[in-house]
Amino acid sequence: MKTVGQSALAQLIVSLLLVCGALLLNWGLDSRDIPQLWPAVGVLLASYWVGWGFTALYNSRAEMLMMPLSSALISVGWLEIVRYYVSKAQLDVPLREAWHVSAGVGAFIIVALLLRDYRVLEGYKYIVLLLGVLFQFSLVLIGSESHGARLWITVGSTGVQPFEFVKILIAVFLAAYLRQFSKWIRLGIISPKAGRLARRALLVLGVCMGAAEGLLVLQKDLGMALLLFGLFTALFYVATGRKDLVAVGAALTSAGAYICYSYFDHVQTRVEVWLDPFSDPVNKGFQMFQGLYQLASGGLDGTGLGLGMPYCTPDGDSDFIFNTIGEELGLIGLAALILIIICLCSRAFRISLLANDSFGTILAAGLAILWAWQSLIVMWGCTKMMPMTGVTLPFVSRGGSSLVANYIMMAILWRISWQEGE
Amino acid sequence: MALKYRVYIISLVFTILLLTPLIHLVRYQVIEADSILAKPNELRGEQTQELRGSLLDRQGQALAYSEGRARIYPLGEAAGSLVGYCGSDGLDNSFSGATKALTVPREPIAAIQQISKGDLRGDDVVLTIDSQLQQRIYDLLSGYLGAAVVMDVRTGELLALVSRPSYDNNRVSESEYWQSLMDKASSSPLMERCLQSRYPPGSTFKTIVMSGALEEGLTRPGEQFDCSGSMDVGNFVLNCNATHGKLNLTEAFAYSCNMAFASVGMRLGVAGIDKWARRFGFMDIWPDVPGAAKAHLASDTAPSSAAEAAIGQADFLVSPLHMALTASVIANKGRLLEPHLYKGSMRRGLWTQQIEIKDGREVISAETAVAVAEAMRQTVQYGTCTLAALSYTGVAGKSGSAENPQGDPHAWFIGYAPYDNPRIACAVVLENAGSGGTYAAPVARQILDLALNLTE
Repeated sequence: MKTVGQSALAQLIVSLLLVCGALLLNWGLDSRDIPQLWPAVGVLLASYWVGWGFTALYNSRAEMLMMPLSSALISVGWLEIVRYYVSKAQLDVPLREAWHVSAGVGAFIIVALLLRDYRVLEGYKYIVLLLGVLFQFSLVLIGSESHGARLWITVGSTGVQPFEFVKILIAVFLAAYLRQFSKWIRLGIISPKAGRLARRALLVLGVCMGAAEGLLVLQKDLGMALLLFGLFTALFYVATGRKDLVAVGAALTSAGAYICYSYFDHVQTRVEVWLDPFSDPVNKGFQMFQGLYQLASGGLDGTGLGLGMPYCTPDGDSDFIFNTIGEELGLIGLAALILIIICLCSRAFRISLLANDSFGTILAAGLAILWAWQSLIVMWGCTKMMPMTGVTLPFVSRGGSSLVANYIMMAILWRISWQEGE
Repeated sequence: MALKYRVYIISLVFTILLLTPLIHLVRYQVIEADSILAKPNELRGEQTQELRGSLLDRQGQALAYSEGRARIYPLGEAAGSLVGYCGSDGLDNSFSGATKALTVPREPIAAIQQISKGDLRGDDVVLTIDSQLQQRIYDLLSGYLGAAVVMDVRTGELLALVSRPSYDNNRVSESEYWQSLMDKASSSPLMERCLQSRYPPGSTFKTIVMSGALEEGLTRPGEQFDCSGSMDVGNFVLNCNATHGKLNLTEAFAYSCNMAFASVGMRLGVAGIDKWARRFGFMDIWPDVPGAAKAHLASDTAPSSAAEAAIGQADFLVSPLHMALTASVIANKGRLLEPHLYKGSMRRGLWTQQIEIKDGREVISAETAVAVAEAMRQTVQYGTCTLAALSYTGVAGKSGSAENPQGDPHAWFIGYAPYDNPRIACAVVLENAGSGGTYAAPVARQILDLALNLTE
């Protein structure tokens, strides 16, 4: 019961944060009316508490802190998204984003209810893989291109980004496959029989992952390719402990990255921009320059919510939302955001550590790695520690697909945490 | 258990990695913040965008104004590439200095007091553009790629600068809209064509050749030429649009005979053509027309190039503004009035600065101008530009069909009206539309009609 109390308190703080933020926005943005602000806040609060209430009522011994942590990330992101779009006079975005959150909570509840025993996923691993491949292939056929990459499927008026879901399917497949074969791979050096099996397992794995990465590279979605590579490497290490194979994989990937660099113009542009965004601040380096300018103008304590100029940065609501937060909430705000992300990932790793079967352990670790690694790619890109790749910051960036996918990941983790106590 | 141990290791690794962005955050947000903020950033220089002055047209209607932090452009596409947006090379950016808000005190209370008094609002800049005319001509050019310049010949004021295709400058911050513009890059929707695009002038350039040759006494309006349909000019054979037979210079102008003008052009030589193009202001910079490009003059000095240059081909490129100016010189009896877009600045409805209309400079003598004007009138009466004729007043004009590597010729028309008491000069170019007399002249007729009726 103690955790329920703590969780409720955290949930209350987050709700308060959202309401205060909305008040500040209403005040900060030239006292201009934002017609849908309060209905949207209402939708968000209702979604947070419905999700929280569901977890508390269903099984208060399962994971209780991820709900308020994710709500905190969503709140910060949402406030900045509202702020960004009000300046662009697109006043319907705040409410639309709030509905995406409620859709995410709905997805959480549905998955949590349907997935009574997450271990069934292990038996369906090839179907899961096939589903992932189909999803990804659908992009090649009916995807629409934006920013030099083909990542979207347009359904009605909304765009769906299939990879957000594909990455979960791949994590499930990897967990199942690695649980089955990790023993052989681990022992591969010792016995000849194990060696044969290990080679076959590695071959299958290599082909699957190579195909997935290749597909992503062909679709020019290098951010996702990088994400997948990180997931694969880290999870492979977790499951097998074979550092030598991890090193071989890393070497191959570096070679692959170099080939990408030499063959794709847009990769070269991104690297150039990364190396020196100030050399061409009006054209190629424009976005990165504006992003860094945002960070600089934010300084230690930020300009204040609603008082910066994030609308000067293209994609300041998605790819560069980290900089937008840095501008208005400053270094202090970003440090707090990073801490919340670390807490969220730690909770996921904790579930992995406490899971009572190895599939659950590997799967939970996989999902935790996805969150951590994806956040890292974004944060490194936004702070010029590596070239920008354009993936979303979990729970923070704008985008319905990403939100729903993250809620689904949370639902799987929640189910694993439930089994841990039994 | 080894598996859990490795999960533990990985979780530690990721936790530490997640802290690494803080290194660069400290660097950019604290240590190097000032040096980054010191870099010029046009877009963000407008911290006080909401207090920027407006851009007004000649009637006082807004072309750009600030509402809150947004900059609104009421004409949208009709003046999209001309007015541009903050950070573009359009007028709203060119005049960002003139419309800039006064400096806000850093101390917040004082700043709020000043802002509330409205003392900080920047000046309004008044342009010579007529919004209604601009919009109507933009609608008229629908379906074409090209440009139309309308000028008041009495003052040198530019009344309309229409460029097609264009873009809605209210929407450039929407990434999808921007992407859709980038997808259409081959038709250059962002390009302002009246001032910045340069085209081969085609036969409209004969106006300058005729003026120059008359002025230097190398020919006279009544001189007889014999057009056989083609002519050997040294290293290649130049073809005419028809076999005109015997005709005088004025008739040759009206029928746009290449033979007659090639021979006149060869008398002038490339240097002479170059000199006259310069005198017509092709290489001038006009301080009150921000962003106007200079022409690109022919560089090859062979006599055969003079023949080509005389009919507006060769490697010789001009903007529609240059050709409108040429028409205005003929209309003004040989005087070139400095073109301008900027009328003045206003503060709370009172002029703080106003442009004086200067007398202009003499480019050609009045006699020469009258002779060329007569030729331009005959061109509309029975020559290549009959489709430009207006029922209620006389029109003087010249068409051009400029050959170019992109496809069909660019259809040109330059001219002015009324013939007796000139008010409006215009230049129209329709990219790859075909013959100037067939395509540009009827459009120009409608433009002249609109301009004569909508403006005083």
